[in-house]
Amino acid sequence: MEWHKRRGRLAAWAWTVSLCLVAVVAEATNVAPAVAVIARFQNTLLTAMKKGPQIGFHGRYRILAPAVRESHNLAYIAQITVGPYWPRLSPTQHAAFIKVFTRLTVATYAAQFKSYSGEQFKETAAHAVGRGDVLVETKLVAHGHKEATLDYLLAPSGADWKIVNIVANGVSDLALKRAQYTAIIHRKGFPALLDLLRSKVAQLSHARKAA
Amino acid sequence: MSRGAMADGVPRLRRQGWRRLALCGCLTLLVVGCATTGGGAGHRVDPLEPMNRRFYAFNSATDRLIMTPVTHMYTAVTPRPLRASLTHFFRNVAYPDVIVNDFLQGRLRQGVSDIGRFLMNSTVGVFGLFDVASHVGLKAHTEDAGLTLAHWGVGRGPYLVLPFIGPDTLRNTPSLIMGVVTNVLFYVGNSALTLPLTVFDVINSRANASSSLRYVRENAVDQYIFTRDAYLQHRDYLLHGGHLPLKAVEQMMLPPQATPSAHAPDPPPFAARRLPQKHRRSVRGPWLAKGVVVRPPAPGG
Repeated sequence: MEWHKRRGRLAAWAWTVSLCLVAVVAEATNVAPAVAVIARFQNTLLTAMKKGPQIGFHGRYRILAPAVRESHNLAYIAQITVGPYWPRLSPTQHAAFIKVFTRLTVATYAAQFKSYSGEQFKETAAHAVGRGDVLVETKLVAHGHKEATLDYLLAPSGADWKIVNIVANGVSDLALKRAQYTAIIHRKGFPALLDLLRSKVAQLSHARKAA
Repeated sequence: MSRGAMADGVPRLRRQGWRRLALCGCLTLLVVGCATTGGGAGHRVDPLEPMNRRFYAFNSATDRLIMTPVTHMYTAVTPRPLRASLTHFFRNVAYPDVIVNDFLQGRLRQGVSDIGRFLMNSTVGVFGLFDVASHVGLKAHTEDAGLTLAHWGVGRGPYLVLPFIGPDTLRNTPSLIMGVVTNVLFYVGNSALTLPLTVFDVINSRANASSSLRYVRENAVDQYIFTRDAYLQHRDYLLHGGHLPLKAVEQMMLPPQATPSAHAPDPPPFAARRLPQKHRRSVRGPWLAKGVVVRPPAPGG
């Protein structure tokens, strides 16, 4: 009788341990492709930064545009940033907004990551979160500067993983954009937002031409 | 998000001195008065938005007309290593504020580590001019009275923009006073020394904030909302010890709209389509029904 009890307990432990192992392996398998997306994107950023001063804003834009399109789910992010206004817009407006939003995203990267002085990206952790999304936590380390944490939320998109949000030192890029864009649409209308974003792209491009 | 531009959150210009102390006291009373007469605005993040926007415009104009040219001159005449040393010095003389709040929050180990950091930088680091403590593993922490109050369960209160100071919240206003009385310079008692140092502190802080301010100018389509939301999110992040809590990930990805006053609550009349479980988004805003997603066509722009 005692032996049966012990065997039962042993079986329960074995089952629990095997479940945990399966969960760990599954998580590792799930997060690996998402981590690879971030590693590829950050490598491209470093390439653009290293060549930055020589190739200028437009050179960096050309390097970064395909990498941003490949790694970010820009159409989805664009939709989220206009919140409840999205379904009220026509397909033509959707297309126009996604186009200008994509340009703005690439232009922002090209404007901000303009030179290299020994910066490094370090992946610190990756977790499965929510309903099958992955959070990849990284740090941007630069000599003489405070470390910046950059956390990427990735979601499955077809067969790939794509970035749907970036959180820098606890500040969500998506939330900031949504708060601003919905306020502008509310106050001035969608065409005004579109014009503002176009002018931002132009400003970033002109201001950084020499950079 | 840009490379390190938001690294320090939204910059705050720190000042010391009796004048500031008095100003903060008056403003706190004024704001408390405004907030408590606001009636049912308790649930709103920014019930004082019209006043805040006016102060924001005032601060922006002051910065453009006075601080920007002064900062340009300052950065032109001071080499980068000197500015770095001055930054270390001013952070070090203000560090007792962190230590006191460590203990008030019951973070004993962190408090002891921060005492070690302060002593080491004040001695080996030549009055804090050099941050030697970081090189021996004594990391700098960020604590203040606002974070302590949050730790004790005090609500955030309304968002504020204070003239000459910048973004803040009602809960955080005591840290303006505590920051002064815990600063080493407060006890020096020689105004011929502390006054110029205070001026240098303000200018140096502004110089350090230049990249963040430039990022806001270049990228924000509504600078007021950008600054407010970035400030509030960053404070929440500091409240969690500089970590992104996994449980809060979904909320942090899409926090509720900060300006319900500015946006009429729109019913979600959209033609949402249900997707298979594996394709459903885990990030949801208040306008996204649970488990319902609107996924646009394949990306490509």
